[in-house]
Amino acid sequence: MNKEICRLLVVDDEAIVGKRLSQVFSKMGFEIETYTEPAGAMKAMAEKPFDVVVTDLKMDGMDGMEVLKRVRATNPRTQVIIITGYASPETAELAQQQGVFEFLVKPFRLDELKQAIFRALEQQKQGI
Amino acid sequence: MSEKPERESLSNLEQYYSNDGCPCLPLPRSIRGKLILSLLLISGLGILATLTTIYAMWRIEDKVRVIESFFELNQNVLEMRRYEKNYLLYNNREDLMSALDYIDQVRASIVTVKTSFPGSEEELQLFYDKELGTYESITRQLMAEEPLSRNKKVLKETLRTHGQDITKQVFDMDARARVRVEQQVVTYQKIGVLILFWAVLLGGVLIFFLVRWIMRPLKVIREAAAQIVQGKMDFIPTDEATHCSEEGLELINSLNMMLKALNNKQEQLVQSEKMAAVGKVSAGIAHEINNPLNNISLTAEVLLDEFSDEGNSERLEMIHDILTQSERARGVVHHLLTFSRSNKSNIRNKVDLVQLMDDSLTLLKNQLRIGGVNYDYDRPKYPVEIVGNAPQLQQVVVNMMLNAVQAMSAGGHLQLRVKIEKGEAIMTVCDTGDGISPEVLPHIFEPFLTTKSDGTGLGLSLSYGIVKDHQGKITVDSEVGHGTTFNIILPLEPARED
Repeated sequence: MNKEICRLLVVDDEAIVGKRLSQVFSKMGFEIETYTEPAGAMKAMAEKPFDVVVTDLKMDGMDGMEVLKRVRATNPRTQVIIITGYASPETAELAQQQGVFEFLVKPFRLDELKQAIFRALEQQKQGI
Repeated sequence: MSEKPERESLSNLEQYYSNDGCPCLPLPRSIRGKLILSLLLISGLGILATLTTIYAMWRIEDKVRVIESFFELNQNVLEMRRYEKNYLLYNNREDLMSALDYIDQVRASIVTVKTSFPGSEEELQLFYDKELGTYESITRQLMAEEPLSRNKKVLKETLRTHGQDITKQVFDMDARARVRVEQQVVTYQKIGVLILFWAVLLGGVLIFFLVRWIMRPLKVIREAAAQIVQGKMDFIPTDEATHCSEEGLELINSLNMMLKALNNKQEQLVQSEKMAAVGKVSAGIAHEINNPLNNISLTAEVLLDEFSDEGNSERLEMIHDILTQSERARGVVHHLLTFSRSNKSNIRNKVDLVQLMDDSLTLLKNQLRIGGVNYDYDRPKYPVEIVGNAPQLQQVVVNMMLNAVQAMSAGGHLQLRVKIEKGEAIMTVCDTGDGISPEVLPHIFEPFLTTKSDGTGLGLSLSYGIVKDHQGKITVDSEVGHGTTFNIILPLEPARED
């Protein structure tokens, strides 16, 4: 099996989120990059695609929905997980339509996110 | 806040009897009373005038009779003198006899005059006896005398002289009688004019005062309304000007009551707008809290991960505590969000009422603790599901529980229950508070009705509406001093769509 390291991209305007997730997932063996604004994240995405993208919804500049759209457009293989404090049935519905893999509401348990990422990777591998 | 109008009007009532425009007579205070009184007065005057006229007419009839009888007397005297003249000219004895006849006629006329002209009896009697008597005796003497005697000539002269006297006297009496009649007619005319004058004067005065009594309060109202619209005044003042009539005062009091009610409604509307705004702000704040909460629990979890292999159980326990507490905060925020979310949407789902009651309890646990209220939730072991809008139903339950807590200002016991009975789901919220009085009870579901100083009075009416939308009903049992029980009854089967 390909022992490729899974690449994880985290986009959240709160730096602390990126810091914590970085701690956790790099310890688990992921290659993780964190950004606090979407522009930088998109650039990184363009240079080298990621396997899973975890993004917040409400951010300055581009919002999470836009990130989702762009990622799904340019890299259909990449799975996107949205984590957000502003959840409503309407936004969840919209995200589903845009091809989001999972929609997590803050505050979430770390375990939930871990499980979601693993499932996303499964999905991705099967998608090949 | 502006002054209360009651204080003012009380002191003014005392001044009622010493002011202008309202005389210190025991007049009826209402315009209606005054109108009736003045109409009675005017009618009275009218009747008086008519009676006077009738009386005057009746008396004039008498006068006419007097004049007629004098005319007759005059005529008879003239005839009598005609025959006298004839005799004096032609010496015909028959003329003399006719003259004698006419003397009797004259006598009869005098009697007629006497009856129709009271007050003249003496004079007439004198005339009757003396003058006519003398005339008659002369006439008889002439009849008895031999023709061509010297006496006869003298007698004839005397006759003529007397005749002339009689004529003159009768003429004088007639003239005097006429004058008297005319004077009396003039008197009647004067009385009539006088009555008319007083009637017109009184009418004018009454109209003036009536208009004033009606217009004064109206003027006050008009001026006050202008001021109120500009926001310079809160109510219409009741001073002496408006005390002149009951109706005016009543009108002003009614208007003031209406103003007060309108002000209340406006205040309550403003309050409910504030509540809506607060709801929106709460949602925003809730979201803002979620982010730091997330960061706290995330960091704690990572920490847990890092230290999981360390032996220090105390440290691990503390990290666990951080997680538990942020979990708890998360729960409250979740409830707040669910509760404050706009309830305009009508999404219908399966709602477990047992869980709903649980959630409401969680939301208000703190309120209950602060209020010194202990509670008991008689929850069934099975879920009680109906189809409805969960946030709206939660709003109803929370509203009732809040009311219960507020009714138990000195603490108490809150009994909650959910059960199924006869195909209906029943949620019960029962308190041991102040209770609702029988006068207020029929009206508690009316909007804007509140006994709280900070309430909008909308809670129960909104709840009623929501339950009704769910084809259910709310019943209430209450006893003053013992407590209140609200039962929310909802059908288990979804109702047929109309």
